[in-house]
Amino acid sequence: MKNNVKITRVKMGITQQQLSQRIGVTRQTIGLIEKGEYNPSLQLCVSIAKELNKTLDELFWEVE
Amino acid sequence: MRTWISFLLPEDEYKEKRVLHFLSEGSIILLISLVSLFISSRYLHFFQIDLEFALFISIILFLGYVFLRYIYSGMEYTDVATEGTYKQELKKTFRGTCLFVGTFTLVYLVFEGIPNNLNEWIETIGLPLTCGLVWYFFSFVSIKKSYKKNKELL
Repeated sequence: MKNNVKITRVKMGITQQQLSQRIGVTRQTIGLIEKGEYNPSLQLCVSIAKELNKTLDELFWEVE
Repeated sequence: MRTWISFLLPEDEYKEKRVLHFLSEGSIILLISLVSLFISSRYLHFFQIDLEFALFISIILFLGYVFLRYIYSGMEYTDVATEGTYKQELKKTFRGTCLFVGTFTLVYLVFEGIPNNLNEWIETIGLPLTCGLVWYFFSFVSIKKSYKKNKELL
């Protein structure tokens, strides 16, 4: 599933390591989500959206 | 999700899911091997295996499969993504292996006494050294796989 996590994270100046520590997952998991190789649970999607100050729609909905 | 197996699972969501997959795959393979062993012992009289051996093979099959899948998945060392951390982790593992071999040999010498000849020395050092080499080999593969995977995700 493609998404806007990487673009949003980079715009906010946060590293994968920092984001992963804030939401309690590994850096590898963030990398896999950003690459669209792992579909996170709804709970994890919400945690990422909260941390990046975005809605679920903005991060995960129908990314081209 | 509440399950009694939670204590065996990693906290990270992705890792947890993958480990559950490995355990499930291992269980299916174990089931197939047990059914095969049952059929062979019941109907194929020319193919009889000792019960103890059959149980041992089944345990090794399950544990070996799950272990190898975990090692080859490259998700053990999630923070190894640069050449610096890769080399650092290899050094750390090497030091850990040396410490293990040294401690094992020392404990063995304390309980068994100082060996009298070359053969006894080889026997004393052989086991911990072999264990250490196997441990280092699997750690090396795991670190290398993790590094390769993490590098692609940066």
